[in-house]
Amino acid sequence: MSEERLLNALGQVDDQYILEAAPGQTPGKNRAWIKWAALAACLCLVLAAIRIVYRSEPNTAPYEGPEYEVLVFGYSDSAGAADLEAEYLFADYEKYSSVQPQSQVTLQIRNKTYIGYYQNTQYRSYHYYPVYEYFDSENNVFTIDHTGKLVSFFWGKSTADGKKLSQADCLQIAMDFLKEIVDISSYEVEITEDSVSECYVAEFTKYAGNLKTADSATVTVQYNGDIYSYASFMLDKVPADTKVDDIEPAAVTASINKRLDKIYADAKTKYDRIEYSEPSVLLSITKDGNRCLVCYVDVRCINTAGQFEAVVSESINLVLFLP
Amino acid sequence: MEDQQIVDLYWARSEAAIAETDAKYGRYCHSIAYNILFNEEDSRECVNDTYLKAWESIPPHRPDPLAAYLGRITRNLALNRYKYHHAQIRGDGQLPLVLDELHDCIPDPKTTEQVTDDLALADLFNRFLAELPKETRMIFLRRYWYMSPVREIAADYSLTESKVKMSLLRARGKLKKLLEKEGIAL
Repeated sequence: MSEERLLNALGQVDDQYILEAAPGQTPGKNRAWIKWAALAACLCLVLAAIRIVYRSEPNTAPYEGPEYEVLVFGYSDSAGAADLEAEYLFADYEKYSSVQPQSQVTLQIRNKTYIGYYQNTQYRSYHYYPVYEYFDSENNVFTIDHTGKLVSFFWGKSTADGKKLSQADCLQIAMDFLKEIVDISSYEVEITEDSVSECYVAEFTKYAGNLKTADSATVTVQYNGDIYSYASFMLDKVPADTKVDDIEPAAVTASINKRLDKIYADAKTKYDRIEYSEPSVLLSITKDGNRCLVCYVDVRCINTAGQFEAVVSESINLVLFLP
Repeated sequence: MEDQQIVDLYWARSEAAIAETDAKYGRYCHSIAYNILFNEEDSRECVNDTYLKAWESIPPHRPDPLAAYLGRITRNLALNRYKYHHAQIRGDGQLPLVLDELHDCIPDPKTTEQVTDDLALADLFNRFLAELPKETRMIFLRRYWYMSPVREIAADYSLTESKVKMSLLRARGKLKKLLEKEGIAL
């Protein structure tokens, strides 16, 4: 039917138009704002008044030690409770924009040679350097970083016959593979079985002292011993001997909470309760070569109505700069 | 979590990818499916199927932007599911209304000869959209891509429903003219 053909063809239009018109986006001038601002202001006053009467903040002793600078570097696109803006950019565009990736690279790994053809350049989250994506003639996809180190490789499911290897054997395969890319002596490894996908997932993480770093890799090995995929993050970029004993956990927590309280100050007047998850923290390195902590926090903005709770959930990514 | 990180989780074959996708884009995909299917359960299934398709296709894909990639999958799944449920009858939801409206754009077969493939048609749509004023383009896509009700578009853009309808009518007229000008038969 012709109408359906139009509808289907429209489904293929450029991403930019789809995103531009996504629900929640408005065309430039925000006329609704003026209309609702007065009403919202009144409502806020009413809510504030109610809250003064009914809500009491938990009594916690204020932290009075040193604090770290904390900036926002990302947030979920559903984030609406706070007026967020990215304040820090990890990617060092200035330094790497002049680097011209090789149009063709030869990669030797696991006794095989792959010739890759350049596709595009990407900057991963909290990475200061770019990775370059290549396809080979068999449609294998891999990425390398600016130093030529293999960042990821996807082979996909192999149908090769073979009996199910033991977890220890698959771990050895994963370790032998990663050894070709990086010195794995400073990584801790954890292996889990994924019986649905019929593979073992080996996760390599580098620690500095007892602090988990962003320097990590995942190798997925099929039961038959073939590697399914490999992905790494900040691989070999965070030294294991990075100084961490001067980092004060109480100061980290207080700095993050203070920043969150500031970000959600306005939202706190609109919601009955705002909860922050325990931040997940990774030690990393910024483009200036300085230490930082990359923190992920889930925030729940809650309004209660009788026994029910309406929850708006969002996540926020913070970077905490260490002196 | 940022899109690239979610994609990295898919690449690492970590099931956390699904949970992160759901947290970030669950509502977005659900609204697309719901506007087409008008049924909570079907829409939920459609969104879950979207995650499965994403799991199967990333890698080797590395979609950027992720939202449009997921939205496209949801829209296709919902349209297929709608067709399956309504092979003969036209039920609730925005789709029957949208199809009726798009009938306005079909050129008279007497004026057209060329049979066009879907890719060329998508290219024509891109050119058509590029020439529309931003607000009209957004209204057009909200109606015919996201299949949002006119009432909802009017509320979101602070316009009256009749203004939205008029804008859509004019855009459909322009599209029809362009299809005729390029001699495209559907």
